Order: sequence, then structure tokens, then C-alpha cells
Amino acid sequence: MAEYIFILVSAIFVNNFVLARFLGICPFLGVSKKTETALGMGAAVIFVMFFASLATHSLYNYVLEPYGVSYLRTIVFILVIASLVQIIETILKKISPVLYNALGIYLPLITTNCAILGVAILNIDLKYSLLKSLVFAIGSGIGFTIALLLMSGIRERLDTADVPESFKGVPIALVTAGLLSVSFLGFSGLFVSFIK
Amino acid sequence: MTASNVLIPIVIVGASGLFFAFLIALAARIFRIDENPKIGQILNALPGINCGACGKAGCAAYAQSIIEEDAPINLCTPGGEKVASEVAVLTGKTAAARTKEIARVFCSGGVHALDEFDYVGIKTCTADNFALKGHKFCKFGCLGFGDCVTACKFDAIYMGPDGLPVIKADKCIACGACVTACPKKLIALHDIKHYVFNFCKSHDKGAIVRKICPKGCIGCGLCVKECPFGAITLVNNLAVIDYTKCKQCGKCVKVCPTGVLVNLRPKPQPKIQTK
Repeated sequence: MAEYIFILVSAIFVNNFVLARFLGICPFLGVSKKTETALGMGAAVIFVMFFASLATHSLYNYVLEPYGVSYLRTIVFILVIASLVQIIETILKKISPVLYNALGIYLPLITTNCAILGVAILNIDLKYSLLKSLVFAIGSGIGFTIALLLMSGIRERLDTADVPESFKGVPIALVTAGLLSVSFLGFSGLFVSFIK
Repeated sequence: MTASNVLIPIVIVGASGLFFAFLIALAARIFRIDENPKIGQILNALPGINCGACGKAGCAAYAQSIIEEDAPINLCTPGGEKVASEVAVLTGKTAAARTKEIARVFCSGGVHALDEFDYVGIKTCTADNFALKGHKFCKFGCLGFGDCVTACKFDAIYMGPDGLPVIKADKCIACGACVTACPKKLIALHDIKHYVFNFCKSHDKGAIVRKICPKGCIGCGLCVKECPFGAITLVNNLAVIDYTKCKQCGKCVKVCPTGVLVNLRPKPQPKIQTK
């Protein structure tokens, strides 16, 4: 049990996908202008990460590994994630239009989000079991959402702040992201032995 | 190296591709949503260039909002009257078709307007505008780096020899991208049937304009007196034409001492005598 909590906390804070592993930077900067959209994107990422882990983990362990073609994992995983997002979108549109509208454009955008591929590949590299993979995926998604939320909160305030002319917009956002990332380094002392 | 080394990966990737394609097709079939067929028909009638002039995300979003949100059917500037009337037939709605518009550049200075200093920074108007409002003495006029050319998705603008953007009437669809791109707000969309323009935006006093730009409006007021319809007024040393009153007669153009008032009405073709 303790191990699962370790994985969860590690994925959320210590090895935060955006701020420590630097994956999924594009949506991190692109969708973090408003808290509302940040939440939508975060929810969509958690959702897709969970199902992508489920699919890729099974596919890797029951198809790729037995046939000795584990080197194909990147291309197959991309295939899986892209189709999975498409399927989820179709299903959501039918059974839950409310959720579909809430996630909106962010769901298809996730197809090309490297954080999802990152989760799938890290699951394999860290040799997680299926259950651990799922916990790791949810943790990573929550970590991504937290980073996005923090960033959007800061950026909403930056809009009204007196930023020097040449720093307005993306430059100050990048500086902020860097500082946020440094602050997350503070978590890196937690379970040193656990981090690979 | 055997054949299976090559075959197995091909089969596995191919099979998983097929498998997921099948799943997507299945999901699309089971969870199909019947959307109003008119949306598709309207989408076909729209130009499909996704320019965003209607204020929606694209043609598909606009077609949807016509049906579901009762959006006006005449918002499509590129399509103009033709599209509006097609959509009117499809939806049964009536709307005054929008007049065809074209972008006009309101500066005649260009290379003729004198430089205040040498600008060596990033070669865009926006960057130049940040540096003391541009390198020209005239703080209202065109800076000539062609931000509007970059913004135009339809190759309808090019930089002319006198350092001013020129708009190709046959390519401009009045999407308004250049209007927002210009840091000096020199470009505006106008009814294509407007011919008489004051191509200057300078609010400087006449004496200053005379010194810094040979092609600026000096606010002399001759056109105001000449106009039989009272359509021209002086606003801060600039002659402004009220297009609700202007009858496009072009009398003001003839009295303008600097030639900044322009009549673009095409000259009547000389009749070819056939014998």
C-alpha cells in the first residue's frame, strides 16, 4: 500500500511531469491563460492518461514483449494514443455531451501531447505492474493539472501586473514557468531512495 | 537476419493499426449522433477557407451557429451576397446581404514621408512602433515593414515601390486580418463602392505636415467648403469623410492642394467606334 502512495506523491510533486520532467510544455504554456480552461485541459489529460496506460501496458506486455519487438513501442504507443483519444471523443460526444463540451477542443489536442506518451513509456521503463501503472498515470495527470492550475492562477494576476513592455506575454510566462519549476525542486528531497 | 525479423513488426504494427481503425469505426457507428443535415449543406455553401471574418472559429463553427444559435446569415465577408443568398435558401431566413468590402490603406506617405531617425531593430512595424512610435517624423503614417503583408493569408497585399502596401482588389476577401495587424490602425474595410478617400490619418497641424510629408492632409478645409453634401468635416486638422452623406462625386479631389484626397472611380472606358 505504501508503495502506491509513494508512486502517487512522487508523480504529483517530486517528478511532476511539467515542472520536473519537462513534458507537456506546449499545453502548459498554451492553455494556462485562464483557470477555467486549465481545469478542463487537466481533467482531459487525467482521463486520457488513465486509459492510455491501460491500453499501452497491456499491449506492451501481451503483444510486443512476447514477440520480441519491444523496440516498436514508440510507434505503436502513438498509434494507440491517437486512436484512443478519437474513440473516447466519439463516445463522450454521445453519452455525456456536458463533459464533451467542457473538455471541448482540449481532448483532440491531447493526441499530440508528449506527456501521455511519456507516461506510457515510463510505465515500461520503471517496470510497473498494471495497477501501479494506473496509479502512476492518475498521479501524473493530477501533477499536470496542479502545474497548469498554479500557472493559470499566476498568469491571471500577471495580466493586471505592471510588466515591462518587452517582457509582456510569452517572455514573462516563460520566466514564471522557470521559477515555478525551481520551486518544485524543493520536493526532490522526498524519498530519495525511490527516485530512479 | 531472417524474413520473420521484418515480417513480425510489419504484421504487429499493421494489425494494431487495423484493430484500432476497426474500433474507431465501431465507435463511430454505435455512438453516432444525428446532426441536422442542414449544417452540412450550409458548410458546403460556405467558402471553406476558415478565415474567421464571421467571428467564429471556422466555417464549420459558423454553419453550426447559424442552425443552433440563430446567428445572422450575412456574416461571411469572403462569400458575400452569393453565399448569403444560398444560405438564405437553405434556412429560409432573410437577411440583407452584406455589401462587398475591400481593405483600404489610409496613408500616402511611404518613402516620401521623412525619417526622424534610423531604425535598426526587428524588421516589423509592431517592433518599430514600440521604438518611439516609429522611425518617421509622422507618428500616424505607414512604417513600411509590411506586417499587413505577413498577416494576409490570401496574398492580397504586397509592398509597392513607394513603400506602401498595395491591396489587390481581386484577391482581397475583407477578412480583416491586416486591419488588426497594422499597429498604426491605417487599414480599414470599406464598401467596394466607396471611391473617394482621404488617404491620410495625420492629426498633426498643417504647418508640421508640410515639413515632414509631401503627401499628408494639412487640414486646409478646401474640401469641406467644396463638398455640396456637407459630408466632409475637419477633425483635429484632418479631413474626415462621412460615407453616409458622401455621394462619391469627387469634387473635393479636384480642390485638394496636396493630392491626398483620391478618387478611385474607374475612368469610363472610351467607346470603341465600330464601323
